[in-house]
Amino acid sequence: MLEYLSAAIASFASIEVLLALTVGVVGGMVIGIIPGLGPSVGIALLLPISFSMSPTAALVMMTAMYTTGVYGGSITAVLCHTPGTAASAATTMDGYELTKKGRGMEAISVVTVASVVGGIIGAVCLILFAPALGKISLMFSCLEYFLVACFGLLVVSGLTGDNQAKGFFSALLGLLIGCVGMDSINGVSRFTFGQLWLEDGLDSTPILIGLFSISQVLVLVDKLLRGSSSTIVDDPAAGLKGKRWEKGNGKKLAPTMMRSSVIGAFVGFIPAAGCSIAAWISYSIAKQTSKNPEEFGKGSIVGIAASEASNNAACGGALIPLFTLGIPGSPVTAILYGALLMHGLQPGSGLFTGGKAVTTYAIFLGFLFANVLMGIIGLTMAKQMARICLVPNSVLVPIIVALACIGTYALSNNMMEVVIMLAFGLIGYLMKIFEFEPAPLVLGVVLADILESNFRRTLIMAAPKGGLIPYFFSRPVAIIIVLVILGFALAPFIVKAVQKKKA
Amino acid sequence: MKKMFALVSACALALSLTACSGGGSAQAPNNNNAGKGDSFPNETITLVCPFSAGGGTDIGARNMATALSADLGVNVVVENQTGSGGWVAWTDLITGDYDDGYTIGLINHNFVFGELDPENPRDYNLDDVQVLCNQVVDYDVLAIRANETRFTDIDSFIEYAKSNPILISAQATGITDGESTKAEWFNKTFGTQITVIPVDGASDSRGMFLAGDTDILFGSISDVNTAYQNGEMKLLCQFAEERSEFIPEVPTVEEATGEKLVAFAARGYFYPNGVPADKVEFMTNALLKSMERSDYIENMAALGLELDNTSGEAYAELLNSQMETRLSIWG
Repeated sequence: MLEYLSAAIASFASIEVLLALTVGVVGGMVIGIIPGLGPSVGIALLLPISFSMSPTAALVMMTAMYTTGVYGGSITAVLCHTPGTAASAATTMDGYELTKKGRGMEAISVVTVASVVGGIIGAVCLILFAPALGKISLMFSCLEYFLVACFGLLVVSGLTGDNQAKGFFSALLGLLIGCVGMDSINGVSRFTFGQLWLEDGLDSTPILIGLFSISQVLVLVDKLLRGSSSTIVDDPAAGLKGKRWEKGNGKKLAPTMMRSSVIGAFVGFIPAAGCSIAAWISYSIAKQTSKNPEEFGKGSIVGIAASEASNNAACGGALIPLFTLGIPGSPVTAILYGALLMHGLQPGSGLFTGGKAVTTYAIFLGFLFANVLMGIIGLTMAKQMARICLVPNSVLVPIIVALACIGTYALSNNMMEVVIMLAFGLIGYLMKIFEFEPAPLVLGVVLADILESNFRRTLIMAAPKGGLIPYFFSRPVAIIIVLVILGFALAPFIVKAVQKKKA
Repeated sequence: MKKMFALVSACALALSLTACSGGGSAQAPNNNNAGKGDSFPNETITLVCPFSAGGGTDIGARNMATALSADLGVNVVVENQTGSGGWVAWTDLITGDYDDGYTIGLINHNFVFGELDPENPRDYNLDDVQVLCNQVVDYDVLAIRANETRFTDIDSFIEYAKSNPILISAQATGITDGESTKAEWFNKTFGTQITVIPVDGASDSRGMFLAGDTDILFGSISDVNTAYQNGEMKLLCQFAEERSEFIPEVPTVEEATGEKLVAFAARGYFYPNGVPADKVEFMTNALLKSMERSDYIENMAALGLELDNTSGEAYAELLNSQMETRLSIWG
């Protein structure tokens, strides 16, 4: 492997590769910042451009865009309550609170540092352990996907807001919305009312944009009309408070970032689980292990670091099954899979030995460098970016709405997506008024299909092996996940009981 | 403050422009050919891919767009209009106003079998379109894992499958799906017990197969060839008339068992019915000519796909050819 790595480094002497890396990083950040346009749209746009490039340059550009696109989505999540993808939704909770207090620059810095740390750890896992971890990812199958999705949903619904019942209600509503469309096992159309465009169900991205950005925009407009505030920051006269980096932040955040990165890389390499579950699991573990859990949701930098380190580490993790097995676990990696094929890099063991290994490791190194470059650009720009929240709302609101419309339309060149987004903007506004959290609803929509179809596939697979229960006990990974879920759900009660006994 | 706003709006503008043009930035058109010979295309031509970016159909279409653009001297862009297994795009192309010949659709077997879908019978069939020409033929194979011990060839597989349940994955469970059809054919012809697990795509199928969740894999040559050449999979038979040049050592199912089944995927191009005949002829010839370009052939070869240039009526027949087989298998 070392000889491949040293040969791979040499390929970064080429102007083409360096240029591709820069384009990928900058392009990813920009495209992530626009609501609706996430890494998947960005990489799809790069496909035709990369046609005439060398395989190394093309794939470096696209994988760079993957990780920076997730990062870019978090910047707007923090500044304008507009997460680019569901993976950044967890960051919104604490990041936006900080921004409102005028500490946007600090929030951006934490997002950047955590994303870079997560991204680098994900990349290192990819470089060092890809073939080995690829084999482990084969131990996960439908039953395990189902259980991981259960875990994600449990975590997010039990976590957000003050009222857990409302959280669970949101999650269930999300699952119900996720039922719309053709059922992926029998092909029965549900809740489609004969409409062709509903057959694939409601895409989660317009719902995410509607519930987070548009509803927030409505809140801003409401404030503007009542004359109580004209910028996102509560006190614009005071300008930007807070330093770029408080002393002691590094020490405070390091354990969270390390733990979240490892969780992210691990959850990321489970196909179908992906960045968003990773972010929420890390966030909730950070909250449970925190000495000040009450800070979470009110502007905790630990919370930001947890979800950010995790979602970028998950990007590196997600590349593992893609390169080693040709299993893309998400829409983004599915496009990358196509790009690999297009450049004659058929995923599999062939990519890790022989002539193609140099290209593979050059791509991995490019992914690593992309994370570093992203950090440099992000930290340099933090102050400028943070000033977005000083822009008067009368200017900012139309821009956000226009970008959100363009972004959602670009998803599938379909105006209905824009209508769905606006409708969910209204729903999100009502949810805000009645204090329902939007995050569980979005995750419910994202996970509904994963939950249902994998459970039903499990039933089919278990039938020849004596049914669900014997099948379950024959799968050690599934048993471990169930134990983790149980531990997670019961831990707060056990801690309480122990404390009572002590007292 | 003003600066900031200017920056933001400039950014927004620049990006929306890239977003609009990016989808179509197939290659700068070289205008040398414009104005020479027939004058039909003088605007951007759109290839509507009914599947998502990065998929096999999409990459094939992008290769074609590059070649066609170089030949015709106009921009050729690929637009991904996804949904309902292609039917969102197909319905739009058939019912919408696309008679000027600047919009070309991509078509495959799913289109042909759509009207037989038991859950969602589709309203359109080959009579509702004018097919232009094919691009790719991809024959199906039966693969097993390299370390498989329960069976090693087609005979031992059939023997095993008669008394043991076998799991495969496919994208649907009925007549519309090629993998399910092969499973049904095995069950009916040899009395095997193959059960189908519906999955979302070919890559899910490969994952479950490699993980040991499914026992065998029905896939296409382009899907499995690399894994086969790397020694990760063995191929028991191919469902072709004669052996493919990619895998000449693998017997056809007829050679191996004496029973014949031909199964393949084909994908190519079509116009809606309203496009006038002269444009149909022009575009068919243009597509055929583009497919002879050496850079196109080279790029497609890297994908491991068998090129095919059946056109017109013959292409319609090719698309229809598996219809009778499937109808008889499913009774």
